[in-house]
Amino acid sequence: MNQMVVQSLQGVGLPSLAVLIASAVWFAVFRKHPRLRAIGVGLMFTGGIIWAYLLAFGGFAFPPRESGHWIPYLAGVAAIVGCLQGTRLVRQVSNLVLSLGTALIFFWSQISGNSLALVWVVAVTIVLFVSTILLQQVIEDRCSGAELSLGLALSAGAGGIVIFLGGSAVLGQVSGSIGAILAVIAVLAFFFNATVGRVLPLVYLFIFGSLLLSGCLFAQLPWLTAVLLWIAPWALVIGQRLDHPKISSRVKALLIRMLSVIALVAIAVGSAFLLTPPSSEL
Amino acid sequence: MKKHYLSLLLSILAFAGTTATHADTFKIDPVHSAIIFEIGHFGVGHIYGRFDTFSGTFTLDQNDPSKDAVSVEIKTDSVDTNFADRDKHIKSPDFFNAAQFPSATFKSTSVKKVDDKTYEVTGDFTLRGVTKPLTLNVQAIGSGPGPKGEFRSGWEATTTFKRSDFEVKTFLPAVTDEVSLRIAVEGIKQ
Repeated sequence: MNQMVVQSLQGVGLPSLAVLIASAVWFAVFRKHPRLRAIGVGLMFTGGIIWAYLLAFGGFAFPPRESGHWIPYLAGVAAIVGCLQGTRLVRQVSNLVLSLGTALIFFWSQISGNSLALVWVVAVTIVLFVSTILLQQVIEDRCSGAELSLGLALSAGAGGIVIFLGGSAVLGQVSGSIGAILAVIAVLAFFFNATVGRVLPLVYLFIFGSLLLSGCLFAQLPWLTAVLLWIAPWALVIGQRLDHPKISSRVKALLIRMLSVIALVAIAVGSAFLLTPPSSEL
Repeated sequence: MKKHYLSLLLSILAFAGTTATHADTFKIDPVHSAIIFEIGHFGVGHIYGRFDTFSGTFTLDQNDPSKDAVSVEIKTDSVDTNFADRDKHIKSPDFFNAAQFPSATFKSTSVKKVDDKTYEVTGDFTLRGVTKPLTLNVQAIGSGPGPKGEFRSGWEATTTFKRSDFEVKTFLPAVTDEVSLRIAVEGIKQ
């Protein structure tokens, strides 16, 4: 098999396999401690992302010199912020600071004397911060762990395809890895009927957001595609969470719940194909 | 006494004349220059590409070649491998990340004369924000008046470097780590 295909499959498969095994053990051991279980799976998700980054980029850069280098550090910080206890105000202030920090990663070098860069910083900060509120307060209350993880997995997995189409195989591989990791977490969350807590969605927001921004600013990912993938998980507000003892009923409810997300993701991928034709470079 | 001062003055002037530097600065003429790279592809062939936009200067000191200097700036988004999709990929964060690092530069730090037509020029090469030393093997091609009477000097340089040294690691080893560079320049004396 083509060497590069093997490397890509390893880059996507190995982290998701590791998270599958570790999370399965964690879910089983901490079955009666939902909060601890959720924090643990969030941290494993973060670890999986960092390993996926390592496999794609071949190492960590310190100090970081470009926005892509910040991904593993941003994942770690987002995980720590997600683990924070305290009042809702404390958590929201932390999210705001993290949102501003993420925006500055992309535009810091252009800020001096450039009012447009400042506008971008403000805009990206607002989008990220509002997204943290929406995702954590609206969707979490209406979704099971499996539904949320699968919705995010669909977005991130499709993100891998469209970022690759946009010209960056490496960033696409990282996004695809995130999708695969979330998919295995979704399966586990389904069978253990578990929630995924705050850490996982927060890390997803900042890392996937960074990947989409990188794709739009530094590769040729169309902005329309990026926006559609970003908002796709919000389609999970449609419908009701269904807790049913029968697995077949839960599977059916899960798939019906995913239809709106799948529709938005399909439109996003379609827009990418229309706006950036596939590369035949290799 | 007057004779003494006069001869002293003449000596000083003569001495100043023999040690006066004779360094000429040349501006690289991009129309008659080329920067070409070669990289291995899956062990079955080579991919060739060029940079369409670059600029620079070089200084030649007839009396002391060790004082020669060269400075070149290459626009990374001007890469051209004769295939638009590949060029797009090379400019992306996978390789040059041209949007964040629009230039690659070379600034010489030392020049060593090997023989009348051959030099080794060592300098700092910066690619994607990483600076590493690089040595160019430089050959003099010729010098003389150009079509409009301007004085020109022509040189060709070759070198090899590892792209992983500059943290460009995508698709290793299918696309080789070693990159060969050939730089052919004509400079116009300023």
